[in-house]
Amino acid sequence: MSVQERITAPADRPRRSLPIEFGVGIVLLVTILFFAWQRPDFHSTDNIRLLMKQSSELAVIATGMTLVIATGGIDVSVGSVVGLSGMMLAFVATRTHGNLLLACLAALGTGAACGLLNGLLIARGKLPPIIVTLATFAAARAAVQLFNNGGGISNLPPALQDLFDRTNIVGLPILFWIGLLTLVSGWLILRKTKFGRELLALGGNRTATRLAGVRTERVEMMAYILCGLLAGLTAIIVTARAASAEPNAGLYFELLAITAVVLGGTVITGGKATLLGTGLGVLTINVLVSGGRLYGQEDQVARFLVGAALLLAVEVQRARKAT
Amino acid sequence: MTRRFKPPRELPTLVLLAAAGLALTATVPAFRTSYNLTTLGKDAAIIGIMACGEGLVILSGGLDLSIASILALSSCVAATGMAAGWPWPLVALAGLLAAGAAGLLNGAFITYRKLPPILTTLATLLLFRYGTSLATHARSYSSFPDKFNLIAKDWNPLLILLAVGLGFTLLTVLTPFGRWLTAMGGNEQAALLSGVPTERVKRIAYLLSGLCAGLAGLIAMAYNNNTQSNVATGYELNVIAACVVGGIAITGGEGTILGAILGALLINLVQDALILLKLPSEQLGLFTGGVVLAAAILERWRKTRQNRAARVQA
Repeated sequence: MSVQERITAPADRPRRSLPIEFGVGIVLLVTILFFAWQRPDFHSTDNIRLLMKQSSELAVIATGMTLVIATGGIDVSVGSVVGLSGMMLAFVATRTHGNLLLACLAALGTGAACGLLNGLLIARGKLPPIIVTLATFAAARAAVQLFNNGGGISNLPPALQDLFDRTNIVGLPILFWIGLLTLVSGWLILRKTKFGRELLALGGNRTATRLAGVRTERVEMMAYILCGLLAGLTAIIVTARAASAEPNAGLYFELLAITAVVLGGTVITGGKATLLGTGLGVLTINVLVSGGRLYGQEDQVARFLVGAALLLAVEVQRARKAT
Repeated sequence: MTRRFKPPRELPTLVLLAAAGLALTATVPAFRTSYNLTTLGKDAAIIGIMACGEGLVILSGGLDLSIASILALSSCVAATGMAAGWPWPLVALAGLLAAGAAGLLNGAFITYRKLPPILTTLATLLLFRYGTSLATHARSYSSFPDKFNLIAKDWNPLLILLAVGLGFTLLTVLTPFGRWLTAMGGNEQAALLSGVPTERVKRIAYLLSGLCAGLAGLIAMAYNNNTQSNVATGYELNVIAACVVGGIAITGGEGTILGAILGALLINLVQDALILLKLPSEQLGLFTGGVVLAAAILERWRKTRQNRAARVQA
């Protein structure tokens, strides 16, 4: 036996461990089976279609959040940005007599602009992400009140709801495909592009990444812009589904998105991210909400359970790191 | 070498507060009424008392997002007891105890289980708020004993804030706990290596933060003579804003409790001004957001200047 072999004795060899998404996958399976067993309504076609539509909002916003958390940052402003972008969408739609393309572009633009502001202050200004996004969280929610004297805007063209809420592709709701497509694009960006690798490297070790010649400022800024853009897309979905823009649309979205991301196994300190896990996390949260509603409970139970799930997920993540 | 005069961190807040206060006194007659001032004092006391506890946590390098939920928890515990007709001092104490237990739970997760503070308190934000809501079936409680409601009468909330602020200031200035707190916030590893019981200090900080939120909860329910599980939703952000505006560095290690209180006063003064000037008070967010950013930029600027000075000396 050579020295080299003795150094890598079996005990030291990295044990092959289960994929990081395994935990959330089990939780999801158990909750689905439980509700399917207890509530026959749960696996009715209508409920599953509704679940797909409901999940799309969170799937889109959680994809952006995954990218931001992968850099080691956090964006707590997304919920407010959804509210603001939705108002902008409705504002443009009513002013242009129902030009949906322009309205949707306005929503995406508003989201991206908020993301750009966050990104500039965080990447260029070197300010802590939690503080910057906390500030934009408060400011964007307040800016919502500048439209229509703080009321909602509801006289939207019906085509908006028809397009997003009632259209099917291959028999499944278009919103399901939007959510899936966003998650897959996020996965492709993270795994298959130079930008994605730089993003993960940045979250792993900022200084080393910068010294390796990566333009870290630009990469970090891009993550926040994408996150804002996806918040704009979420605003389109939310507004279309409700057929109106509400001042408090997107409330708590940041909490749910962060929970979905961490639940899925993305490491909160950055450097490691999984969009498959995020997708499973999003489904878990929505199954809990949907199941809670079938029990005739308000969303309180679901939110309580989401809190417990978050705590559990962080705890599991920590245990994994310790071994 | 002569020491350059270093302005205290609270100075910008104090100047803004004084300027805004004087301007309002001079131009808006409705501001001077005792009704307006006591209402303002009550609001400032609720945010300010929570800011004292949150200030300790932030100084130690942590963050507590669950305080508004703890406020709801403590007020609902106290309200349930009063609705059952139990003596109010006992019930109020039970509310405080519940808040302390909630704070301890945060501290336990963060120290024994080493979970990140933001995520832990994000989770307990949901757990405490919706746990309270489930336990009380989201019912609304009202008509508390007059003697209990006395704690929120006239200037009493402001006096309580003064007492808490004084106590916490003495705690941070005079005791080893205070020095440990700032040492940890500056550099936790270094503090640990020099023998600071960092985990215990953290637990105490989260416990005190919970207790402060509980006290604020009692004042809020006494003033409104009403409480419900959704009371004070979103207050945690105003409290964190108050701390940051008052010059506490969000990364920990620098700032004072006095600053946190001044920050709370300033934020509530602006909110009051918006209402008096008949502007939608929801627009407070634009101001809070702007000021928080300004404070962060100021902090950044201070640090680069410090680094430059250090480099020049070296």
